[in-house]
Amino acid sequence: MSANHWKNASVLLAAGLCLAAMLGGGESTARAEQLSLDVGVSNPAMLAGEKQINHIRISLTGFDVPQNEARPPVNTAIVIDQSGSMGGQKIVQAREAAIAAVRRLRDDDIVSIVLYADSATVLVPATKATDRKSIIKKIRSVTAGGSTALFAGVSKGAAEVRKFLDKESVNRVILLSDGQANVGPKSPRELERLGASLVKEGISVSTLGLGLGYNEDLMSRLAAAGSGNHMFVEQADDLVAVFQTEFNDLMSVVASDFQIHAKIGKGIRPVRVLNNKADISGQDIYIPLAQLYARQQRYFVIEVEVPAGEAGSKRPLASVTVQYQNMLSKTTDTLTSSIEIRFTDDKEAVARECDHETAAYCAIQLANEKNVQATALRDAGRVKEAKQLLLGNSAELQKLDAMYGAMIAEELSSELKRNAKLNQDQSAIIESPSAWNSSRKAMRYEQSKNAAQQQMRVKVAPPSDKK
Amino acid sequence: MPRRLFLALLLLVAAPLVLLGWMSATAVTASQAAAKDNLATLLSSQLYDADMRIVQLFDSYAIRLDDQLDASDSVFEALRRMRRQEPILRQGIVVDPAGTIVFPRPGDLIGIDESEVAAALPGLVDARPLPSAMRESLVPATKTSGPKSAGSKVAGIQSARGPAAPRSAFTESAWQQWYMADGTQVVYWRARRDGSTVGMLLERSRWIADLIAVLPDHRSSQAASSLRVAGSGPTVTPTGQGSVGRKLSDLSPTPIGSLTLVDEAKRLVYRWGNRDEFQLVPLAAAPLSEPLASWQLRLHVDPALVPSSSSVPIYVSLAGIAILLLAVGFYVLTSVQRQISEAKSRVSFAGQVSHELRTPLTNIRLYTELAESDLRRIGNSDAADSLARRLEVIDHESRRLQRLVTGVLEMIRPNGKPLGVRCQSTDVGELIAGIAEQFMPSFKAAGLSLETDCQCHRSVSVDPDIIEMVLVNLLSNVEKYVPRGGHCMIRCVVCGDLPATETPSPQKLRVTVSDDGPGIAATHQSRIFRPFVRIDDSINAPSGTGIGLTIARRAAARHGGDLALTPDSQLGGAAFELTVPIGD
Repeated sequence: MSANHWKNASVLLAAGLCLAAMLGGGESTARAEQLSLDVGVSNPAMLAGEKQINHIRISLTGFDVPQNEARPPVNTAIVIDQSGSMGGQKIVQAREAAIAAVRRLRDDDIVSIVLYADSATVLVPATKATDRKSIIKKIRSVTAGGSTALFAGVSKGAAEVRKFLDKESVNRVILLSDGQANVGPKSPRELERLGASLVKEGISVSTLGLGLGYNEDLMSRLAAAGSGNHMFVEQADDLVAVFQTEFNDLMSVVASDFQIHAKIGKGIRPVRVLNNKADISGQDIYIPLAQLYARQQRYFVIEVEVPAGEAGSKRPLASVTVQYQNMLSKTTDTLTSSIEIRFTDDKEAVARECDHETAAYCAIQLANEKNVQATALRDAGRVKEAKQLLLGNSAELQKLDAMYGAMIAEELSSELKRNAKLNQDQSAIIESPSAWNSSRKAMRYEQSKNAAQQQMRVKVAPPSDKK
Repeated sequence: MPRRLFLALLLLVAAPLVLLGWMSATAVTASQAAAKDNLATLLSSQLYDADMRIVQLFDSYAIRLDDQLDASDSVFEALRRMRRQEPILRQGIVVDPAGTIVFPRPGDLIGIDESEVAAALPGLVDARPLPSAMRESLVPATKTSGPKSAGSKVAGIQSARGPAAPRSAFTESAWQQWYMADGTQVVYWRARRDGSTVGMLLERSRWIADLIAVLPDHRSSQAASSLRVAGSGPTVTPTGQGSVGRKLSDLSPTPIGSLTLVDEAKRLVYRWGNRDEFQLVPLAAAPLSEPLASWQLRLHVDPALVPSSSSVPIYVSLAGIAILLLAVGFYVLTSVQRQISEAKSRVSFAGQVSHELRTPLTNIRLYTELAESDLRRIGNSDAADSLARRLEVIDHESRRLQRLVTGVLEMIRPNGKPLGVRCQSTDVGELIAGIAEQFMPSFKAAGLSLETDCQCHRSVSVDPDIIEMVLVNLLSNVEKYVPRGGHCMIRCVVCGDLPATETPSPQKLRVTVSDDGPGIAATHQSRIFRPFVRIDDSINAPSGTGIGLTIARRAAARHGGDLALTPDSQLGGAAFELTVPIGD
């Protein structure tokens, strides 16, 4: 009855359901790689007789793309801020970045270029990237001037992507902005809801904040709701590189169009999904996710309230179904997994059976949530409290690393260390009022990175769960 | 005088200018307003076009939501699924015939955004447009208007599209506008056969984004089409999956001017068209159709495009008129001024000449008197008599000349400098007799008789020079105007001497000169004392300067008295009455 035992018990049972195979597809689909689904719970054994909070982790890991496999086509709208603040080096670098991105595209990729300033301009309507020359020529003509109709830019960009919306391509709006939205809807919430709406139809939104003038709340929340990446690009010179990173991600998408459904066991109350806007309806939790990159490890932490149970009894905690579009095999696959908890009177058993890995992941997300709170406290001018919160975070994560560091995967341990250090560094940096604008953007960047595991990649893809 | 003239001139110039300017300005504004209206009507087709797209967009939402709802047997399940998968749906609502919200249940609304919806639901449901009025009698309890109902606006109710599908459980549909959170929210309601209603709260950000997507952008049309041909090629066709905008006609031609879409609080939502014209005052504004009636489309057009009758020619012509009027006025003013100064210099010349004449005159009189006294020593002889008579004529004429000179000097004396009055004890009777004596020869020559009646036989304190000046002037007039054979009478009274009055009222000397000549017509009576006025200025009239009466009256005034024309002449002609106060 080791901790590992429980973990393995819960991991099992991922079922790949190949539609193509059912329809009598070729052999290649039978060999197709699958995502791996891993469902864990922080405390598989819970103390009997009292109501407690527990955390469920649903983890998805993307498979590696074989060298000889063709990547799925990309359907993207590059939405570029051409407001007055973009003048000078910024617009030059933005042009270069967009041109470099267009050059990387294959002929069957679809691209559109949307500019926004006083209004939105569809510079290049959605088109196949066959005629790169004329697209690039058009991009070169872009100049800066005017205000910032960010909402209109995203709307037009999404409309361009929608023209060729396809399950089998990677649909994404990439938004570049260096300023505050000042024409049209401009609150982070309105943009966030737009992003959430776009994800429903399979369009993801990535946001690139350039310089120190953009609205990091708006940009990070849009990317979070839009299931895309959020990046903080302080120097215009880095823009080309960041664009490349974004396109690397874009071109490494292995699965899309997710339907992640977690059915929580009877009597257990779902509280929330940490750092995520999930659709909770009774015992059903639906988590929106647009895309998963190759080898990306993406996980969601569900907080549940478990009612008091009798010692020795067991209770089904959650059953998870993940349906997704496999971008390589071009099939709709389904993975399922379920998990249960048992109640015990033995406090030691509770501690012993704790799923360290899941607990560590949960701790990172909890710390991230507190980090968001710390930002809000700092915004309210309560620097001391914010500092306290961050230092607490750091201490907590360090403690966790010290306790379980040896028992968990090396990547996770280093992630714990990284976050502990991050919180520590932030606790120092938030004290400087002059650097706050920049450090706030950095904080938001780290928060979205953590919440969406933007850069978490496993070194070796786990063996896929094959039928 | 010139200042007053100048002001009058300014007034003369300004008044017509103001009138003209005002009239032309009103004409210009009226014509401009008319031109603007014309243009607005002309360009409003763009607004109409944009509005049509928006209406079509909402119609397409309705169709899509209807289809999804009809396709499912369980409304609750359908609404739950649609919330997850349907981009435009934010939250479904089911209200039973009694008006109770049966969906969403508390378990369906977990999270910050969801609790916001939960808080707004009761008010929203209270104000729902369905069941419509005709069904209201069945369920009267449901339409209680809550305190929030002011915030809601019910859009038009429409019966279900086309002939209701046989399996459709819905009868009619309606739009509702509701203010919540960021602004206007749109709810699509459908009534079911069983009396319950299904509401679908649309995702605000999404329909705004879709609105923006169906409205035109900045792209110039030729650039777009060229790229489309070059880029996409024939093999690629847009999938149009989930795309609403694509059901509509393609982008309209580049608009004239620029258009803006503003929300219920007049905040800018989207704008397109000419970049430079966004800041202009809207030329025309039109509200959107249901369900977004509180939103507005506005049209901004470059003022240069408005056919404005330029006001420059009007200003130029106004300026021309002003200059013309000013020139005329200036000419009149300068010529008047020149004449005035000429007259002044003439008067001063006359004055100087008169002044210069005084010394030789005095000398002539002095030497005449000396010659007379010399003549008396010579003794009587014919020659001496003749000489004496001639000397007398010289003396008489020189006196007359002196009187003329004095009169001229009196005339040109500036008004502000009163000459002193030298009152001295004078026997008025003797004075008047002396004056009468002086005139005897000329009267005799003119065939007139002169009679004096002086009832004042004591010495009174008056200035004899002034009395003399007045009487001399009056008598000269008699001499000139009374025809041959006429009669003149000088009557002299001291008023205070009247025995009836014992009161020490200030005594006055009254000298009346009346004649039986033609008199002065009533129409001229007011003018005769004005300087240089002569009643008959024709060539036949007796010679004269027209200043005699003026001088006389001024002299009388200088003495504190008055000279007036009395209406009751004793002799039937003209009668002047001199009144002066007298001292002891």
